[in-house]
Amino acid sequence: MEPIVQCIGLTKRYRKLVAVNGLDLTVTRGEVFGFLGPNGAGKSTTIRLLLGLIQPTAGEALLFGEPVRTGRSRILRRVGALVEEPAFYDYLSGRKNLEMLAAMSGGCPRARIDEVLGLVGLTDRQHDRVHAYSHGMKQRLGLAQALLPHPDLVILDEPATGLDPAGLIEIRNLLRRLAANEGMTIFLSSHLLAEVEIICTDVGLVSRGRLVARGKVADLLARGEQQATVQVDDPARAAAALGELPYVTQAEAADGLLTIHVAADRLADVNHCLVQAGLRVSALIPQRERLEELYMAIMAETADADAAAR
Amino acid sequence: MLTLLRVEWVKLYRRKGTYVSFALLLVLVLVIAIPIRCYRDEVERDLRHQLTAGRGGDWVVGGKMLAGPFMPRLMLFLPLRVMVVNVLIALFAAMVAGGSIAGEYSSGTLRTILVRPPSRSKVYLAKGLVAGLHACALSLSLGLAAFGVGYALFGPGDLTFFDEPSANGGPGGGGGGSGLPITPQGEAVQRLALSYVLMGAGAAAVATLALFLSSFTSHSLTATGVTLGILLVSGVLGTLGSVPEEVKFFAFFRLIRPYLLTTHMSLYEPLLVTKIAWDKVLHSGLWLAGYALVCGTAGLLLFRRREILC
Repeated sequence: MEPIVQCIGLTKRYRKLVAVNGLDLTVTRGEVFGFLGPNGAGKSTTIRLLLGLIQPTAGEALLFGEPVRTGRSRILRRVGALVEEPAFYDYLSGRKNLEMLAAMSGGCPRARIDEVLGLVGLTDRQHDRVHAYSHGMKQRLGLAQALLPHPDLVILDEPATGLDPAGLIEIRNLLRRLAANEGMTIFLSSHLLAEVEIICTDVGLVSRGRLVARGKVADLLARGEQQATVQVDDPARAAAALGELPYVTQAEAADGLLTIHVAADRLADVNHCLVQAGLRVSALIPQRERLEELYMAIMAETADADAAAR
Repeated sequence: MLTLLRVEWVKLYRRKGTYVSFALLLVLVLVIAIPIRCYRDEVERDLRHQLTAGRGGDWVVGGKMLAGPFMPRLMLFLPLRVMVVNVLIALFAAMVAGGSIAGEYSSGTLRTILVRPPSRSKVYLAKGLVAGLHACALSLSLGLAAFGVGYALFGPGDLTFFDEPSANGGPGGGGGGSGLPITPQGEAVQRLALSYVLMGAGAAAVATLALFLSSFTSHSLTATGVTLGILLVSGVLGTLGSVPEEVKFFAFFRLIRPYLLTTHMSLYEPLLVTKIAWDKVLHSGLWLAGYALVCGTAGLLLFRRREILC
């Protein structure tokens, strides 16, 4: 797969503060990549480094295989970006802002401006001055300006901030559609983990400027053990039977149900064991781990590891 | 580059605030011209008296003493022009140039621009050109207002005005006297029109200074304020340097006076005395070009390396 975004030992220091610490990361064509991490983890700094807004202290940021440092103008022709809060000339209309930004991106037909305004749901308000826009509308306009040049790569920093639930769903569907139908690669940072879980194919977790986890969303969620609820005719006997299995770490019977913690790929073995023990299993319901739980678990592990290292 | 110039132009002249400075200059001219029109007879009597004073004998002076060119000449009269050119027009020019980068940095729009393909050098150049042209436009608009109001209130006629030996013995000095010469209308209009064009060059140099300060400050007020501060300090030092040579104590200020920006902002001064010293106009013009080149280059280098954190 063609690498679209590459960070090679990317480092950014501000005096004693290390904002990004030797970050190695690759995002390939067509991925919808979620870049996650707590406040101050280095997400926005990484995005600024990728866009050439700041210079790395060490390492290299490459887009489309070319270093941003040397090929910035060429690269940015293929990139649409929204960095943190969307900022516009608020005395101009939304449309006029887009026209000016389109001109700076090499120009685009009026029809494309109409199209992106339609995509983000701002057609009716396009002639209003931006100072009359709500935060959510500015966010939509920010997304529109990022999509204007029909980019190969869209970099979005917290694109869902300020959107109402309907707006969230619209933007989510839009991003999925852009990735699926137009082959855009999307790199987005967000705090809304539930949204990331739905939108993204891949995620990277960053903490203290370092990448601490990276992979397909499905693979990461399937890692380690998972919780499952078992409906069985004799929960107490089932708990005893499962308690002897090495891949079941916990089995508790309560309220006529059995709750177990089991290695992610061994649910079928649990069922087999219960049947072998003469128990009647009427349901085996895996409790799917959410990205939020995974995130918290990884962040806790990272914090422990950091503490141990100190 | 033309696109960038157009974008900068649209940004500047679509803002209502931009026109406030032009309106204030017109109001200033009116505020000065209307009382003169109301006391026209007294002013003409004074001018006649000045014309004949000290010449001995009985003089009868006929004709029109107050005419259209009087107002544009009055705006360039030494006590007034320090406030009008070195403060008012400098302030308006510095506000636009100072806000051009620092203002956009603090509002976040600089980030929106800089994630687009045009290089920082081109962006800086476009901002500098537009700020410089705007400074020229301010000077020309003052001239137009003065000519317009002058001709509207006093009608056509020759220019009768106090001759200035020079502004404190500055580069415009020489060739003048201390009388009240009468300049034919055609020549007066030519000289005054050229004076306002040259005033524009001085204002443009101020704009490059403000843009330079704007390239590394985070607030437009800082860039504007520091520019005005520099001009005021420069003006004070220049005034001290123009004290007659008998006062030995001010020798240092006489030494630095030829290098001060404010000294050369009055490059139109030789046009206001009977015999025009073109070499002094050229000398000051070259100094202003030097200032603009140094400020422009330094600002460009700083802007290219600037970290966009806002």
